[in-house]
Amino acid sequence: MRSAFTSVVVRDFSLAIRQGGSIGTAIGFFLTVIVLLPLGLGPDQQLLQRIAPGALWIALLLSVLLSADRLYQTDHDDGSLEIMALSSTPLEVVVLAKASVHWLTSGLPLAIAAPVFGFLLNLDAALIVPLGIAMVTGSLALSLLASLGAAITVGLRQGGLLVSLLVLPLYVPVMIFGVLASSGAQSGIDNSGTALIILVAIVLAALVVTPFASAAALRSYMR
Amino acid sequence: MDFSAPHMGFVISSYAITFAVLGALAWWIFARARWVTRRLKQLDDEGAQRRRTSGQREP
Amino acid sequence: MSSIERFANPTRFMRLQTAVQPWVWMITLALFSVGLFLGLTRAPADYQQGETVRIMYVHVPAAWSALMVYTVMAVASIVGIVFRHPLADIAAKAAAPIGAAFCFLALATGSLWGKPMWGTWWVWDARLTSMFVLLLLYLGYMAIWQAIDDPRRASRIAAIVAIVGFINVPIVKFSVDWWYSLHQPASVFRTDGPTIHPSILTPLLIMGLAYSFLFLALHLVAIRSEIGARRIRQTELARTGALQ
Repeated sequence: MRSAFTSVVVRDFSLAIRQGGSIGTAIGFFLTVIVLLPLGLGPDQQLLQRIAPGALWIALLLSVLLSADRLYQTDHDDGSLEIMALSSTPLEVVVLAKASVHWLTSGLPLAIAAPVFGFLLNLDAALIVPLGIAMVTGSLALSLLASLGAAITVGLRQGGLLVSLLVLPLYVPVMIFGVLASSGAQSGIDNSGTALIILVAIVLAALVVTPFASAAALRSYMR
Repeated sequence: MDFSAPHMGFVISSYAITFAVLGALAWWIFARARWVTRRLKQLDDEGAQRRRTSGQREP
Repeated sequence: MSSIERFANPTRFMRLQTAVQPWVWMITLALFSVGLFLGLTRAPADYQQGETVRIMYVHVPAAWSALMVYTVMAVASIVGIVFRHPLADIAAKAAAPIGAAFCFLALATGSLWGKPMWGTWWVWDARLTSMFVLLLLYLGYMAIWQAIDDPRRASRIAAIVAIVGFINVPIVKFSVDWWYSLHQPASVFRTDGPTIHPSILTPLLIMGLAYSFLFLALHLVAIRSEIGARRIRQTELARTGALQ
């Protein structure tokens, strides 16, 4: 089973590198949000500094969500999804592999880069490291849940709005605890340690739920 | 209940919107039930008609 | 298991529903009458909030019911997927609009209560946010049924959505205790019993029961319609020869 997981990972990874995959969409959207926010909010540097962690999280969240939209689309359209489902590898493993590749190629690079781009929002330099840690952790949950949304809507024509409606409720706790874990001692009471632990718990829960729920959804589309 | 109390408008609005929404919900559910019953009767009648006429359409 | 099989037959369900329906409506009306009478005339006004506390009698039961109905939806979805009970996914689909209406009412009446009490129509605190998320879950669930034509496929996907989204229900319940909140912490469903005076608690519980019976009454009608709608679809498809 480990080799099947690896082979799917390698295949998707090389596809992503050759075609650019979802990283282009993700980076493009992220930068758009980050650049437009200060333009829209005005030059008040103190305001920007206060909202910087939250804004960066929102940009990360939306970028991951939008870039995962077509995760299963090409495989669904050319039939390779059915071949994967019929093979001896459990579909859950395939799901986990695809979600992992999406994280490695979109979620993780963005999570690492985001704090660095924080300077555009006058992010407090002391927060760069806690933000980075929280984002790297949380981005895995974001990628997993986004892939779940993609699996649920893969066969639908109007999947876009539906994905947002379905994944948003699941993103809310990730966002809340992610921002809490990023803010360090900014708010006075340092809850960031607890928040980070809860964030890890959310990631673990997503790791368990996503493969089974996604596989069930994909199988429903193939019958 | 003291109707001259301050913020009475909020109380009345709350109850009004509650009954409005619940009323609309009940109306919609019953309207749909009526539509289903009517359509099923329609289909049953068409089916009975087909069975009557199909005997005459023998090749 | 045998009782489930007894109700599995749609015709049997129809007969049961026809017999039970009038009683359920009578109980619903009675509960609403008593609850509203006690709540609006017999219960005292709050010494701080005045008469606005009476909004509680429509706000709290609506919130309780929104959560209860979602639980029914999630359980029905599980039964549908695991036991393949034929009425299960119909029951889940029929419950959703009712639960969504309750959820919307909870938010609307809560907002109308919040303005005089806290001075603000809305605040993104734990409980309000998770109730808003619950509404999104209801809407997403209903959208799935609209988006997918095949009822069997739709029921499976919708069931997944309902089950995965169920995590939000305990979050709503416990969120006020976990992190800072403007909303009132739990005062009824607590391990050491309610902290509200009986003259206020009684009408509240009666209204809660009233909403539950209202849900039951409407749910039964909606399930009946849904069974009929499936039959319509099958007949129409068979007529046009599209059914394989």
